[in-house]
Amino acid sequence: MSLHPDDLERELQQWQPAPLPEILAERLLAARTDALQPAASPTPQPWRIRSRLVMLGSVAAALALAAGALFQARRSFDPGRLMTSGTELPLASLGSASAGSSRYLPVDWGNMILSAADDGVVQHEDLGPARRLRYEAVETFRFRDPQSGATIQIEVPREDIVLVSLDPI
Amino acid sequence: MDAMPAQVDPWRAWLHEWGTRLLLYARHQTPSEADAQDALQEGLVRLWRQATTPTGVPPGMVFRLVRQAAIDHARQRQRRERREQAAAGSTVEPFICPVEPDERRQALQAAVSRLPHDQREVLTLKIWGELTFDQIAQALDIPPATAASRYRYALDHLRRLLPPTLA
Repeated sequence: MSLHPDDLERELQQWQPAPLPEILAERLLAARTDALQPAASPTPQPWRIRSRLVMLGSVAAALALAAGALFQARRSFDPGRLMTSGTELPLASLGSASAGSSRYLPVDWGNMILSAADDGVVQHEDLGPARRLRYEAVETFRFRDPQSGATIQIEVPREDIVLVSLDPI
Repeated sequence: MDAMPAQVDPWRAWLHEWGTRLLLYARHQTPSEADAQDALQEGLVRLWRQATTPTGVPPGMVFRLVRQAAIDHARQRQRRERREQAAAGSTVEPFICPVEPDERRQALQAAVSRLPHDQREVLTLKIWGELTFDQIAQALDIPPATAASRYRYALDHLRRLLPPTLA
């Protein structure tokens, strides 16, 4: 005589599933807390703040480079440069600014050396052995409008490398 | 002055009522105890993202979430080292056995493990999950009539899987 499905069903119902381990219950409840935590505190992560700062810094550096390149380009192609003792005075922008009644004239120029360094002896293809000296300086240009008395001062940082020949002849 | 009664977390009480059944179902969906616990946790986390309180949570939906988590977990773990543990089989006894298991019980338990997956799934949900056929249908996304027929097939299959001397 075989077992009736209803009897089998009742027999299976008597089996009691093993209870949920207490440590697992605590783990699950902790997981619930963790799962709900991001929604409760939408504070940006520190790495996101850092990456935003880096991005802002990159954009600022790119803008500065673009402005510098534009300034150099205007200097290079403007015929109205003033040469003084081998130094170019950036009158390009001033020339365009003087289209009206006022006109800025150069009144002063300075070259303040900030540091000098001896890079040692180098081999130059024309000079032969030469000592290379490096100077860091700030060039200052000052312009004045004689009619209004207004002045403009421009400071340009620069670096000069001077080769001093060591050839005795 | 009486002390204020400790506030009982409703989810803790809910877990006390449903956790055992859900874990048993997860064990039937996964090859190892560790996978079952992970699937249960993932399923409950998905539930907690949808429901703020356990009141009114449909049991069928919870079992369905655990089932989906078990399926996702199985896909993820294929390339992980747990395969070796799964191949060795789970060492956790899924049911309480008050005395030493007799020969018939052992044979019946082995027969349950040899049931086709869809039949064993419905049997687990009906017998130990204590779900109705409508709730099983919701959990498995099948018609209630299909759930009922699978259950009948499972019982009939079990009866045939038992040795004649024990049937």
